[in-house]
Amino acid sequence: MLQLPLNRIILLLIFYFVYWTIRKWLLKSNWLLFLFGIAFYSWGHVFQGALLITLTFADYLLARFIFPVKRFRKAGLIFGLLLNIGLWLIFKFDLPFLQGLGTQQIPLGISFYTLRKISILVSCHKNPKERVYSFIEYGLYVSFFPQILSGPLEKPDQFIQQVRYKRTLSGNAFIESVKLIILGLLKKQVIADNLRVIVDRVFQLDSPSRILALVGTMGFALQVFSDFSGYTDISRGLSGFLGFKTSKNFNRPFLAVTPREFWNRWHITLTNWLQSYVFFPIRRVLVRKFPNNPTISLFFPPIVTMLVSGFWHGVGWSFIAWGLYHGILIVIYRALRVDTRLKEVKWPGKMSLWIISSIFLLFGWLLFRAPDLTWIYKTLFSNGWGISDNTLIVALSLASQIFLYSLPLIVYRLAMINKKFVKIGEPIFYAAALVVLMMFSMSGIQEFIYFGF
Amino acid sequence: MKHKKLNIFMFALIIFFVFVNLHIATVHDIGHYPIQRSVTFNPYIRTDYRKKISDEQPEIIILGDSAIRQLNEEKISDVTDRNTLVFSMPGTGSAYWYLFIRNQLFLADHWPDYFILFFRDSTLTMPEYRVNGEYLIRLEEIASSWDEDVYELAINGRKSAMVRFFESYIPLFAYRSEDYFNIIQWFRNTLPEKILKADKQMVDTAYKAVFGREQVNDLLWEELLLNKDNLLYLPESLDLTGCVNHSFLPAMLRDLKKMGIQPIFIRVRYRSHAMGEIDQDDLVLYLTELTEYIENAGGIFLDLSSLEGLSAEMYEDNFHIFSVYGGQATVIIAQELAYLLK
Repeated sequence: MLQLPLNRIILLLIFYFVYWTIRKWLLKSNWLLFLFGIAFYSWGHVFQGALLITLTFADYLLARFIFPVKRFRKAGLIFGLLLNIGLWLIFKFDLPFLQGLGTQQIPLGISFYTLRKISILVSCHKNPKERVYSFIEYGLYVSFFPQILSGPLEKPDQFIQQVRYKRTLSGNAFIESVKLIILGLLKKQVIADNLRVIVDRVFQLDSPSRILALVGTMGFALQVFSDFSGYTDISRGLSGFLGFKTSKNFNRPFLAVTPREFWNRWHITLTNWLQSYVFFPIRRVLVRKFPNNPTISLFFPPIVTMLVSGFWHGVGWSFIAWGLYHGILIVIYRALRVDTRLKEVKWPGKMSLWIISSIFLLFGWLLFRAPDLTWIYKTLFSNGWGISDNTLIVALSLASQIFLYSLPLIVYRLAMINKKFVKIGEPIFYAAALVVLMMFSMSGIQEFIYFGF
Repeated sequence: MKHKKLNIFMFALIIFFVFVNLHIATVHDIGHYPIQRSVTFNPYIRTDYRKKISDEQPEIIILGDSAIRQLNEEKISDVTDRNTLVFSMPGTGSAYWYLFIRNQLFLADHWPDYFILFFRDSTLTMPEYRVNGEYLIRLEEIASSWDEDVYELAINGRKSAMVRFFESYIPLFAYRSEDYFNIIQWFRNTLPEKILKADKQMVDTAYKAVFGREQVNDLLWEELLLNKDNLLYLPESLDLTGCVNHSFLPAMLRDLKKMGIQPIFIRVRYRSHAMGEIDQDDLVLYLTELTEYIENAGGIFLDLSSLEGLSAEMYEDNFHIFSVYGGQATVIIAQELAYLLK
């Protein structure tokens, strides 16, 4: 959605104009939103669009006609989950029969919309008589175009509530949306896209020194944050223009002092989803099965939840290891009761905790980004620190560039630091951001500037 | 943002915009409007290629990138029974090839009967492919200050009327690439200089040593190359109608025909082809249209992607043949050429 050609931007503007022109007629405006979303998604990917509509329709039939019949309810849910998760797995693991379907590409956003579909299926299953959604409500929840590719993952009730009422767009909401889009573009096109060039090169090295791996991992953490939170900001801005309020996905995650706090600040809507559909159900089952053994229900659910998260994020042992690692981290912090004792800790203690947690989390990013586990082993245990002339020069040079790209985020945070200063700092920040955007994003990413290659 | 904030925003935007533009106008010494930037290559041009052509008087000249580095010109001469010269220029694209035709081939004392260009997929209609960074240094070797048109098409690329308008009147826009470059270079070079007393040259050397080919994992290197080539397969790159008139292909065909040289364009075979991979539909359509375009303009098109003789084990990566198989591969390709030139 970020690299839209001019014709699609014009189409988007026309859509917004028509959308607000017909705002009086709620049903028409919802259908327009739904059809435009499907068309936008299907552009150049007709098969993927057809798949999305078919799956949504199948889910809707289940929710509308099967769930209300008590004896079919459970079977219907199992069928629906198997259908959605099964198809997601088939595409994720690139199973051979996809060639027969005429596609080898994983459908855009399938990882996200599968989660949305599971949310609404489970929600309808829980209370099929109260949660009776029309097809357009159901379809819009699944295919809402600002969110279909990368979230945020809204809760069905929260979202559909907004679909049911006429939307309005106040001057303030409009300005908030513009701000989100400027900030999102700054994070995505200026910070993340440039950092990607640096980070990719470090992780393409056969045998990097530890210091380079450290710098590369720091760059990667910043890249992922800027990329994803930038995307979320843009998505929230686009939703705002449609009169929708959508969820915040990031809340200064790098300030987290424990891994659990990190997950409550990072990709918040996914964390909530995992809690609702993986963590709590597992814990409920374990508490019921092992009422006398609280240790199992305390330690097992976080590990399984984080394993599922790792599996969802990507294919390969690195992602499984990443999930397992985060699960174990959460369990260790739980065992030490760090989170519960946090309120008693004074600032020097919190600072120490922050440093320790940041190091642990940084290792998690290394697991996530490294080409494979052997690479990590070699880098950490066989390669030296690399304080030789060339490596040190490069490490310093890369660190300096990573600092350059973290500057806008630091300045943004400083501009927001106190309420009095926000009045002046915030508008100045956005004005400067627009000028920086003009210079950096319009130049295109030029890899040769960094590496001369 | 309330009313007051909006005012501050607008005021700050104007101040920033004016200040930055004034600064850029001063730094780049902009004297008049609209901004006219006459940028071209430096005047120095190497002449040994044209001398070689003049001395050896080949009937066939073959040009391409590193994909043809194992082609043996003696073997080709033997099989085709025509004196052949091969120029394998690693890291080159259509801008380089056109400059070679214009500044080396045409300025030589002898012109061949056939000019054969080995290319990959959409490179012929991608003038901006391989023209920056180290590639620019290669281009500079065979370009001169009179090649302003090539510079415009290859380096400045395809720009909309709106972008050109902004570039003519807004200094920030006109010099955005240079300023972007300067800012990054400052951050890239300053810290090593301050802390380790390493000047720019030392930083460049360090980057080359740390990120050189030999330091990169083989599999990841191939991935890197493929990623770099991604732009060859973007929908807009495979739209021949939209690309061809903004490329060097029409000029190549026109100029070669005008000089009485038969242009032949050969699409190379990849290891992936040898492993049974089939081209995607949009690429097949592009190649069909490209064939038609070249043949209508009097050129010859040959697609080696289905040449069975070049098997997967002969390749060291997706594009390059192992040196031990160089002779064998040359004979297989030369036989195709001989058949074509009959």
